[in-house]
Amino acid sequence: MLPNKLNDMQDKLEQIKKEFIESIHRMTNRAGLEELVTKYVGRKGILTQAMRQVKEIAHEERPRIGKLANDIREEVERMVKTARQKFGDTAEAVVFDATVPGERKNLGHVHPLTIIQYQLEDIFRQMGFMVLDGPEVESEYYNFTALNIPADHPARDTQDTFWLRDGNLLRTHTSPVQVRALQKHGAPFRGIVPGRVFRYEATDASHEHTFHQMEGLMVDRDISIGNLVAVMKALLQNIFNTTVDVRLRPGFFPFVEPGFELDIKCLICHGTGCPVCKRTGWVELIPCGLVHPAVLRAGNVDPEIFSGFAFGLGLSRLVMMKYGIDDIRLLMSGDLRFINQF
Amino acid sequence: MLLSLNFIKQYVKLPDVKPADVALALTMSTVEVESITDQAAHLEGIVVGRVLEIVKHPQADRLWICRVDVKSEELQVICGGSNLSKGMYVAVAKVGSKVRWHGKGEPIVLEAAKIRGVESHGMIASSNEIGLANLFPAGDDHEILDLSPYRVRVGDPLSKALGLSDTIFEIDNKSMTHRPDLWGQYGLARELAAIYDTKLKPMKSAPIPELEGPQLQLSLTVKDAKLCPRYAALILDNVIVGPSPWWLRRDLEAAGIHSVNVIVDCTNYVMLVLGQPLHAFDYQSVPHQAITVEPAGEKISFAALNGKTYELPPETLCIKDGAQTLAIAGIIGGTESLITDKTKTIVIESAHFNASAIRKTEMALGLRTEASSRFEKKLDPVLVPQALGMVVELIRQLAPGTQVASRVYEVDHRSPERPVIQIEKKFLDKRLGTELDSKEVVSILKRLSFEVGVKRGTYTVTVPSFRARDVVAPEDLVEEVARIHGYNAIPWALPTVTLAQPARMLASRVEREMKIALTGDFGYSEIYTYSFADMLWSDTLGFNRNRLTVANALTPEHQYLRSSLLPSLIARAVDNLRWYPSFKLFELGRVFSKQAGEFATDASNTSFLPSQPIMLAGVVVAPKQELETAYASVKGEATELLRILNIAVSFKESKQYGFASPCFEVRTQSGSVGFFGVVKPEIAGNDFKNKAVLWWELQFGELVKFADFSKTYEPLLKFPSIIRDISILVDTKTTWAAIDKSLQNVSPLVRSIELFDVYSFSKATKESMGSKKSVAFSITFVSDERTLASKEVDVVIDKIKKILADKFEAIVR
Repeated sequence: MLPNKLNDMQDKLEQIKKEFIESIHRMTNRAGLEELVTKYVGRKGILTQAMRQVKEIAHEERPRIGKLANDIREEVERMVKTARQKFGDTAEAVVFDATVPGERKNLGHVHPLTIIQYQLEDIFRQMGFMVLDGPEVESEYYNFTALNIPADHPARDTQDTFWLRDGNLLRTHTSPVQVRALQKHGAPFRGIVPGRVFRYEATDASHEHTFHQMEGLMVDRDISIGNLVAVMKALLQNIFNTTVDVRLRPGFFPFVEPGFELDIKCLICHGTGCPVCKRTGWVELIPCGLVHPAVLRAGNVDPEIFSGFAFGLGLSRLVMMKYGIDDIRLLMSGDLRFINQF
Repeated sequence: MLLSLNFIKQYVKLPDVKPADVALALTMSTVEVESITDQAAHLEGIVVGRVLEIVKHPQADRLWICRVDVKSEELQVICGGSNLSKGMYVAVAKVGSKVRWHGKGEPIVLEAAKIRGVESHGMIASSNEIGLANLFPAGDDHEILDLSPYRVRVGDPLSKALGLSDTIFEIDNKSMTHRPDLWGQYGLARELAAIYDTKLKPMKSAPIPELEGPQLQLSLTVKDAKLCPRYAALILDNVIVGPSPWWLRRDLEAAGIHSVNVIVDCTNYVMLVLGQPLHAFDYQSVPHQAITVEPAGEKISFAALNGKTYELPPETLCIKDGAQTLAIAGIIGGTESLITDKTKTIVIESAHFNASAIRKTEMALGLRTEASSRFEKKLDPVLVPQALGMVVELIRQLAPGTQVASRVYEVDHRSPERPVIQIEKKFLDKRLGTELDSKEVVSILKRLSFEVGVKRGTYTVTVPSFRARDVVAPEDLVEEVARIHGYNAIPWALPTVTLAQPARMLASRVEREMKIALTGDFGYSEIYTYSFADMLWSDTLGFNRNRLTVANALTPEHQYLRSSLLPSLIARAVDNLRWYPSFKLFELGRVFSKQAGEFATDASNTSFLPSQPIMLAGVVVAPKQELETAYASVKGEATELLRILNIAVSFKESKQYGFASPCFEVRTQSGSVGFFGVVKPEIAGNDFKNKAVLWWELQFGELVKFADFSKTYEPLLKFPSIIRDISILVDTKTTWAAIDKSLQNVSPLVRSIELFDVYSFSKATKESMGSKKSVAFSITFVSDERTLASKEVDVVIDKIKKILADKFEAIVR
């Protein structure tokens, strides 16, 4: 082949390269890019055909021109690849079945009692309450005497007690922490105490010897019955995520005076009467009251200056209500068929 | 307790309200009414009939065809009554009424039926078929209710004819343990009068008459005035002990008390009305005529009226005559002094006993009676003469001929109790959270029988004797006023408080961080188990020493408190193996031991409750062949939990737990915070066949103590790092810990060394390889001053290879 033809070939290749580079830089979308690809490196593309012509070049020059052509082709392909990445490279995507289900993650499960406990803790924290803890093996003094329940008080009958050989007992309520907390933190005070409590009682679907409560205590200047109701309403609204009607009626607990039972209007029948509320339209939910002056004194707080309210929430009961659990024993069963639903 | 609405109506003029309204009023202001029973409801469709004709049933030996007049019609009724007679007044259950077939099962609606071919339109009822067996005990199963002795009219509804049209409220006893005055129906009448602001008819009784015949002798000695502050007794002679009249039997039954005889019934009736228990002895059983109230003194056996014999502790207060014990004071009488139909002369006792002593005796004997459940509430001593007067009047009325045969013997050691309480109007309003008009306050207190004076914003309140024990402080008066005013009439307002520094609740935060991690991609499920030790696994794992013992365990399985969370976790793991092949469980909870712990037993801070630290523990069950991965994962989790709390840990092989191998201690710089390891297969046993059981436990208190959530940003690397992987063959016994240790301080350029693969060869390969394993790890090189050159790293790598070859005869691959 003649030298000028050689030069022609070289020029041609350079020209193709130059035109390609100009074109690809003008590309704005994928379709245009693919057209360009076909135009240059398709089966009948400009570059493809030019490369076929290289075979016709004189033997001694063929390596040099061949290398040039190959270099250009590689560069073109590299630029195409980059451009394709820029526009999204469906052409190279792996084909797969997108309808297969997502991979099941082996996440763990929090106990429903914990879930509700944390929910309540968060509500109370926003109202400035501390979260406290107390001993489960408790002394007779804190469980009864300090709470204005002397040794022969009939109220002790209503709290069947597990006694230990050493004379201590398993706390029958979270209330002992009221006195412990006041002794430690003094007044004013706002705190809650979630925890397990024990009653000497045979177990069935609605009775457990071990269950969970959350005690609440607020002591400050001039705390009133009206305050207690307002705080309880705020709490219940938050728990049930709806407006809750409440009523207060007398209830006797030696560590409060006056003492109340706080009922909520049945959330199932809205007060018309159903089996859940035993046809009364109301569900007994929170025993509460103004803290008895004897309890304040036991906590080294002057009842002349401070007053307060206390309440006991049945955590186990609340969990059962929230999730429609019909057997209290499931809570302590450790049965993963139950736990893993939460 | 059961309360009769008819009784209330005798003393209180209630407004025009339904029984349900009365129940609600009591519930909202005084005590909880648990149920309302309409006596007439279950007698609907049952009327008084008269048997006109009796003909033998042609097809049955023991059945009769009766023609019965029910006024509106004549009915043909088939009846098998053994006591049927012509002209008899009977209870006819008409078609459509409800009866309990032979007194058993649920009530069914009666239909017209053919009985052996003969039509029957209704039923002549026996007492237990219509729920009246207690009032009219039947001689045998076939005896029908004979109404002939009663003044009844044919055609009248049975409820009307017998006066069984009362409404009975069942009151929750628990809601009035603090209100001795409510243990008589009159007390509840007083409450309703106050609630409805209506008049209460006074409870009057005629004075006890003077001696009516020859005086009978009796002396009275009360040896312990503290245990028996007040005691009164009286002798009644010429008593005829017969059955009680119908109304009395009916009213007692409505309150749940079975009729015995007229004397016992009268004492019970007065107790129902006033709340004051009374007791009647046969005078013949008091041969010494000397009643002494004193402790038993020695341990004695006592045969009680309920047919049981009790061993009385020496301190038990008794009513005695000479050496003879007549009764356990305030609790129960003895068989010896029982009133029978032969009794002619009786001694009536009305007394006041110390409530605490009564309770102690109840507990010691395991015996609670209608009387003792009232005495233990601290009754009003003023009731003593009142009840005595009332019962004498009633007995004289119902057992005509009865004569008063003695004066009233009385010992009265009590001091008058009429507390006077000052309460400021301001205090009352503040506790209520609203301002109440003085007029209303005074009205409410007066309706509740308090005497009130108002002066300069202070109420001076004199408490009536029957409230002297539960109203003693201004707070008690707040309750009295508020509950009658209506709790729900008090406006609500969120409290106004002084803002306080928010408490740092580290324990609470640590708890949540741990649970989030565990139940996140660690994949643990949280369980709660009992605080009682699992007996089987405690023994198996060796957690059976130094445990606290429950004195009154419900079952032998629950007689100890747990000293570790592990036994229960493992026991629950066994349960779950039925449903899941592998899983991870954890629990956060207290464990107990006999050593003294951190909580004081009282305010003096001198003695301490048993130690009861909170533990966080987990159990992992995996297929046996995955032991190694599971182990690495548990160890990683333990490390990660502590890393979250910014606690640096090291692990140290331990012999703490014999059930585990390997067993490692988790250590911080200050000491042990927990353990983890693998439960030995021979200890896990058959329950865990082909399973690997791993466990870990951390002392929650230590985690909280060392937790540190503060973080300091570390500048990003200025120069690129170089990572090199090394794979070596070493003896299987060579541990990673040893390899890792040997490479510490090999060069300042080494930033980290991380193991990423360990491979032990299969048996076949092993033969050719010897007991070797492949260990692969990567080393990261960094310099803070410059970009590292490959050559610099090569030098270190060579050094490492040499160390490995020298120390472990490692073959670098």
